[in-house]
Amino acid sequence: MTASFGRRLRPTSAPPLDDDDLLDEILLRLPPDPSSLPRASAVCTRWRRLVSDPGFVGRFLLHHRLRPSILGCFITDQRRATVSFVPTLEAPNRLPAERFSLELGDRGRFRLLSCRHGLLLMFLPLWSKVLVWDPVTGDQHRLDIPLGFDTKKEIAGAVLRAAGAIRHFQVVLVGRDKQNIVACVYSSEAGVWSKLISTPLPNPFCYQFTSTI
Amino acid sequence: MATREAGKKMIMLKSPDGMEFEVEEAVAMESQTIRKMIEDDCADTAILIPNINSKILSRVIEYCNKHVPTTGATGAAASDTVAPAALAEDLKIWDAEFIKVNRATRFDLIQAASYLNIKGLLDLTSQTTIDTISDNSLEEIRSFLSTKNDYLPEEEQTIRRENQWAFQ
Repeated sequence: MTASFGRRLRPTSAPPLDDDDLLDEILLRLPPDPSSLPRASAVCTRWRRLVSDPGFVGRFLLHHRLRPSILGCFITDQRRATVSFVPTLEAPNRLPAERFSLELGDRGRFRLLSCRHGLLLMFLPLWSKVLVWDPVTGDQHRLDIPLGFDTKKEIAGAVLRAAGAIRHFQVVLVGRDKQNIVACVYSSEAGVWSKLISTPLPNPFCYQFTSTI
Repeated sequence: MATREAGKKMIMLKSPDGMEFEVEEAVAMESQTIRKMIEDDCADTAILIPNINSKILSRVIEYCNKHVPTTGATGAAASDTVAPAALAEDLKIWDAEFIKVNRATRFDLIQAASYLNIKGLLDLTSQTTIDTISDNSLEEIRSFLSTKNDYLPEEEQTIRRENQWAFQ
């Protein structure tokens, strides 16, 4: 008996580069350099359509998750209320500083809490908010710090994304309320903070939050 | 069932140009597509592989033969004495030789790897294609991959301007 491929599996006879799925597979292997996708999108309209697709971008990040590029670092300036990007790569992967720089303007004093998975988390004490900033897309999410945190005391936090996620993120905050340590997790997908977790502080005069993850 | 001599079981793969290849079932099952057919009992003794000619199919089988795990199913005791790192290095060298083919053959292998769902071969063939173009100019990429630039000159200028730094 000879089995043959079902209809679902029947291949097309188009050359690989004419087949969107195969070209997609090939383009996923572009190096994880900042210039890779902008350059690929300049080849032709089809390449641009493929590499601009959010699904592709997610797969591209997932494919290269073990070899992330360090594009540069951020420097905060409290006086000017700015976060400035300092690129560290050479051309053509040297992103212009102004592309990833942020002016907080009237939002006043701030503190950078975390920088991870392409996102920055900042604490804005004057407004009792945290700000999640995506320098690549320019998206800003301002989140009210949940009740139960004393925003006049120290707050630590972290922002992170699940592997392959490009839109959604989580924020973890740890802070104080009187004699307790409190913690809360925000999910952008659910759009809400979790229930507050609270535990008595072992020694109210001696504590330091260094990391939340 | 587990103790059955599964590694010795042979299966026939047929190309559309009439060639037949007898391979160990374990080797054929490097292809997830064929594995599923065998596991679903859709394949008895022969499987017709459409659109993959005998020349390409024989190369695919050669790849699978080399990459099939050498312990267990095939019962090759010799590999027990080889360190995994040395084995991986040996495979890497073998892969580098295997992929020294012309562009048309490599594209055929990409298609075959995709249809047969052989992840390692798809990785190797796709990555090699990207490696050959990644340091080239846009013009060279288009020419190498026979891709037509369908942008209007002003559209291309806009795209370059949007990310000027990437074209320096």
